[in-house]
Amino acid sequence: MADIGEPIREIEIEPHEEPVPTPAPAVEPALEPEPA
Amino acid sequence: MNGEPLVGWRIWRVVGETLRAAVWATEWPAQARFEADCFEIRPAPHASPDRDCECGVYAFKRREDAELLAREKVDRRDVLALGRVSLWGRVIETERGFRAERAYPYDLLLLGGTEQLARRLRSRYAVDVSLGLAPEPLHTGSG
Repeated sequence: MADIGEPIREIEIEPHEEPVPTPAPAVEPALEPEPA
Repeated sequence: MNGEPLVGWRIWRVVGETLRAAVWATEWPAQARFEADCFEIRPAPHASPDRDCECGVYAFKRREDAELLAREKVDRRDVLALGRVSLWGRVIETERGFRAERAYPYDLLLLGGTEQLARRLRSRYAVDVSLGLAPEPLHTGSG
């Protein structure tokens, strides 16, 4: 266990946006255009 | 209540293309938050982190402390990542660091790895990864 010392205070942090990258959406193959 | 994550310093072992906690070897998932959990039942079952327990995601306030831990805990065969980590949720601030409920790497310095591994980690975890030198272990003797 890393020695980070004794507790000082407790904080509650609710970020406006979670600092977690959003997985890139799967790329769907482009549809062939319908024949006219 | 605060709207910005705290940022601390920590180290990970790099196993394959995955970050693992240096002390407990717990896997840190890519592109998903890491959430602390505690299975200690004393003084009572509790959410993590708890002021009266030792649980939570650990991070130092100072980079130098994380670097020292890297030199204490590893040997030359380990590939490590030193980096900043975002911390949020319930956070217990301590004298030299933090114990947090939720975390995700902010950026990484790969120590002892290759440029290819740095690219893979960058792609998997979607954070900046740079390449550095492996740390010199504190304990190098064989006796």
